[in-house]
Amino acid sequence: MMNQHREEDALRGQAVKNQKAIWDKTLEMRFLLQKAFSTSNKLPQEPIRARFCNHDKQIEQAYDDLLNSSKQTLSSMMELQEAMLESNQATKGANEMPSASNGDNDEWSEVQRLQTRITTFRNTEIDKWQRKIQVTTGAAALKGKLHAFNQNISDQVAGYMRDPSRMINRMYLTNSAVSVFGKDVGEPGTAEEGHNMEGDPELIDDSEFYQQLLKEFLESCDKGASESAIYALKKQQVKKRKLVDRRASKSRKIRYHVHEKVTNFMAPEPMVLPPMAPKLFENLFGNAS
Amino acid sequence: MAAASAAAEASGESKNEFLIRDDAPGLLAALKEMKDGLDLVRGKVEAITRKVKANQLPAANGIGYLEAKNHLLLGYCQDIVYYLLRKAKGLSVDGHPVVRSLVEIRLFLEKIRPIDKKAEYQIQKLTDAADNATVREKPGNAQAKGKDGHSDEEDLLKYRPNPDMMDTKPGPDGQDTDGVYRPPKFMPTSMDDEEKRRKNDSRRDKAIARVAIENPYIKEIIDDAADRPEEWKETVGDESREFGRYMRQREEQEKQEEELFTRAPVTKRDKQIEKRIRRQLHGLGGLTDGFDLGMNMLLGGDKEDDGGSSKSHGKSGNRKKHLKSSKKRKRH
Repeated sequence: MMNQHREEDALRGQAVKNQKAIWDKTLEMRFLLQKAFSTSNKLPQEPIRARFCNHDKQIEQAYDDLLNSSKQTLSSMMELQEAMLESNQATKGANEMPSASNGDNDEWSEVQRLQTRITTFRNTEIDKWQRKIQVTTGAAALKGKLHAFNQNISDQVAGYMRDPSRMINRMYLTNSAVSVFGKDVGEPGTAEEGHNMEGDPELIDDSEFYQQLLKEFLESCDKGASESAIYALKKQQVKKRKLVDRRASKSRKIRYHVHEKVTNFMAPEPMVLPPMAPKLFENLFGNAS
Repeated sequence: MAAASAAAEASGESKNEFLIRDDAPGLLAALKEMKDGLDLVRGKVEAITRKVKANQLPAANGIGYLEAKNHLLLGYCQDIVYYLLRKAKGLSVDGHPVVRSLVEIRLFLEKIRPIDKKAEYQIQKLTDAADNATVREKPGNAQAKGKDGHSDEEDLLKYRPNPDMMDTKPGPDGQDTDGVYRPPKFMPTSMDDEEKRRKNDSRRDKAIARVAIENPYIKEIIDDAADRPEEWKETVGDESREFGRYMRQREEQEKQEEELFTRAPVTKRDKQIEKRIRRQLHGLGGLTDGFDLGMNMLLGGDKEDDGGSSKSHGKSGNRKKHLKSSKKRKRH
């Protein structure tokens, strides 16, 4: 009986290790995407984009390559998600939805279809684990006192998403922060931008969350990384110690400081002006009268 | 009026042309950089997909919460790539559901952080169980190989000593069930005298302490550790041990003088010693100081040598004898 339990635990442990490996790989993808994500805010929008393409065929080709690459990357990511859903029993038949293609918005409909498919599974699992943690830590005893904190995570997020404008506004970048290609820095914004003084809705910034993820990842790699880094920095700083003569106390030595020599100084020399000097200066600089 | 507006329009267009011409190389570089980044990501995604499809990363028996977390992050990456795609097309993202989706997933990942912290122990327990299982499997596999596979390696146990051939046969406890001979264990005994060793140790410690106190480098290290300010000295070069001893003596004397408000009389002999030491100060007198002691310590000798040169000891000894004899003579 015990042996069977041990085997089950070992199998489960191996699966958990695989899940952690997938998480690490996905996190690595997220980190690799950051550079492209921040650069994408510099790309011009349609009228200017067309001008750039007309100006240089290389740019047009580069745009085509980028479009193809991003489409392929997106489809490979969706393929990975499909494979993960298939391999997991709990999500195998979850919310199968027919793929609706509507031309230009085809990619987004595919992404949305996949995300909707895992919504139920995601909410159930997260809420279940939240309850589990509350029971083990005794947080369930606070029920009723702090209603907002004792809500299910999925409910909390749903509450936020009823009016996400505040969260979305926090992610906007200002025009001054990003120099868009083909746009003059001093160019006045459109009427829409005038309303939105906080930031441009076309420029989404996610660096705060990215840094958070990066910090967590580094901490998980090496628990004492931050502390040891701080300690190492402190050790690197050389202590400045005072230079003292211990035998100079109690008036055993005369204390004095040698002044630096005065530089660029000359005592005035008395000078007798010749009688023709005033006349000479008058002729030189013109008569005052 | 119309001409003026046309001129303004023309100047605006020329300005735009200038901007496009200036920014074209930068845009081209940015587009290539983005494409390279996406290609790299795609390579990694395809590698994982292959593994997942080939069931090399089976996660069916895993924790559902971790699975949900993986899907969240993957969904987030998909949203970012779609955002890039939209930007590359030159389309607007204002009010598009991709921004809303980014915010939603970000909220989820932020909200589940406390669960991560608290579930860490349970997850660690499971991974440890998996590690232990793999460790247990390895020796088993090795044994199976040894039995089934005809390895070229000889059985090393056949070279074990045969107890029957020995004069004094050990008891049954000397032999174990696995066929490996283990010699009988006797009571552990110490051969060296405890008292003698303690004396030697204390003597060596005293000698080391004395050397440490007199050594300027060790003194500097101690000062550094105690965060004392650096001492500024007028002397140059290495100080001999004799000079150090003399200076300590002088400082002690000065302290006593200051306490008692009286000057101690300085004899002619003291003046001579001071003069000799001052003369030696900038020479190479202190170069071999402590060499004898160091050698004794290395060779394990127990001589309680002070480390000074033997000549100086001899001189001082002779001087003392002379002084004694002269005093005796004076008395007569």
